[in-house]
Amino acid sequence: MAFIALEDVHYTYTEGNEPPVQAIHGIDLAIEKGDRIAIVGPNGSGKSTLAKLFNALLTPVQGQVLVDGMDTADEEKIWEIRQRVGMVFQNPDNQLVATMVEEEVAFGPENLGLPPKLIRQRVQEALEMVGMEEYRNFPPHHLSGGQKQRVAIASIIAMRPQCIVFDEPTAMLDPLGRQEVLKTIEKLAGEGITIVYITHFMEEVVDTDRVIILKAGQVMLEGSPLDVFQARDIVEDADLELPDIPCLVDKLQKAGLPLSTGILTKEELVKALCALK
Amino acid sequence: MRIEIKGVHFRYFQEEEEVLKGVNMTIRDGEFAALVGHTGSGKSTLVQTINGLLKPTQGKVFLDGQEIGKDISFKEVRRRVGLVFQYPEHQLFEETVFLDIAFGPKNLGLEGEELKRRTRRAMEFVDLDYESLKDRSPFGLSGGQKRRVAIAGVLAMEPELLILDEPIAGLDPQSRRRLLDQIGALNSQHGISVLLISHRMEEAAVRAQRVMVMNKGEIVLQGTPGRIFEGREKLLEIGLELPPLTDVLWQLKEKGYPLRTDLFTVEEVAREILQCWGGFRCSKISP
Repeated sequence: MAFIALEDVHYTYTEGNEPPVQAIHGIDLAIEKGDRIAIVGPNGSGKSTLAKLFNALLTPVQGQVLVDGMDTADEEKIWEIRQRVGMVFQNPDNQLVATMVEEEVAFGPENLGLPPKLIRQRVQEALEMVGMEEYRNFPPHHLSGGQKQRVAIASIIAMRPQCIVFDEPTAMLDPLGRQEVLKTIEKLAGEGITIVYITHFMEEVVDTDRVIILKAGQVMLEGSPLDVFQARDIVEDADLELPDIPCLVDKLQKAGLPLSTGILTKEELVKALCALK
Repeated sequence: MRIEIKGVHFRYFQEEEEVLKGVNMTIRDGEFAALVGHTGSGKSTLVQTINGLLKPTQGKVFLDGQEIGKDISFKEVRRRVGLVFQYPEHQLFEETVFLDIAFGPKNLGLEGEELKRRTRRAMEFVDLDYESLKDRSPFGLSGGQKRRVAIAGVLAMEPELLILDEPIAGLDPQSRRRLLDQIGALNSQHGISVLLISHRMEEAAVRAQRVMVMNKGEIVLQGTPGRIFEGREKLLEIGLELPPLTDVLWQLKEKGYPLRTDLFTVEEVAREILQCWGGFRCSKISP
């Protein structure tokens, strides 16, 4: 059985007197251990709602979400589920609470009731993993956006989750911060942690195993990055845009250059062009 | 409106390092300019000295030749220079879209038909339908719509210069494009000067006539987008990225192919590569 399994999941927001908003319309999805998947879709497509359904921050109004065999609707399992599936949000300022980096990262393991020695060890490992060990005594608010986001990631890692869901973790960062965070995620994936990466930047899905395009709460397409980049109509219909490199490759092919369609990155394109000479 | 910034320094606290270290910069009348730099480079501080929210600790800012704070009051400046902050939708607060957008002009003393006219016009500028949206709660709108309501609130003040701090951050690609098109139209059709702050080079490049790059409180590069990209090393050194397509041209040039490196759109870059690869005519030059 899949590590995270969604079966015909529906979710509707009902708030006060406002009309109910149906955010997720019958989604089936299976995420295996060690998968690296991307979920893309425009604003309002249900991406963040879906993310929250993965670790019981929300529970479906219809259908079922199973995490490692546990039903997210089972209140007794909530803490076990959240320990397995951690979340990193868009704005790190909203999730950093402590006055020192070290305390921030220790917060989760402390709540798990681990012995102090083990907590220290986990904090050390987590900070090393995100490359922030020299900042352990810094107040988080003195860090750059990318550094803050890495501390937020470290505090999740210290809980030893099997899966981390990233909800647009680079949306508020500048290019430098974005690279830092993407490199960190790359490293986590290398350690075998299951990664669910939510974004609306199509260029960020190039390195994933599987991409899911969401629109109006439904899955429009599920496939490899290459499959997705070739399904131009569906991408555009979902209000998304192909990254510049596949667009350029397409143009060059149409003009008669014998380039393969599998080219997704700058480096691959440069290599392929040089090989033609 | 023309803005001249002359030798502006700024520090928030006496004992702290300067955030602006002698900035000289001009925004020309009717221009679409972009200010690029990464977080902490001083961009947001600089623009607040332009609209009179912050007073330089040293140096002067001129608006159409009049010195801000001396020949022209801060209040007057804030009326004529509209500043849209990052994530402006967080500043929405009124019960209806109409009331939110009308808030500024109402404070100027406008009322009745004139207030309605201004609000309707501001909504039209950003492509929000007046009739169907004016009575809606701004909080029930989509992310892109909320952002446009917030921008309309600034436009309703009828500013001569519009400064937008990361106006498209967090929006999906289609919303980003639509919003940038609308800002472009404000500039080209209505003559409003625009200063766009961004850290996404490619988006600034496609729209702006001139780009200024800021680093550690100083303007380090300025010129047309193409010209800025010629300064690749400088950009990389300060942690900014070239647009990916421009970078492909650079990488090919480094391999010895004689290509231009001041291009950044798919069409231009494809044409440049095809000139060299299409007929397999061009040959490598030794570096």
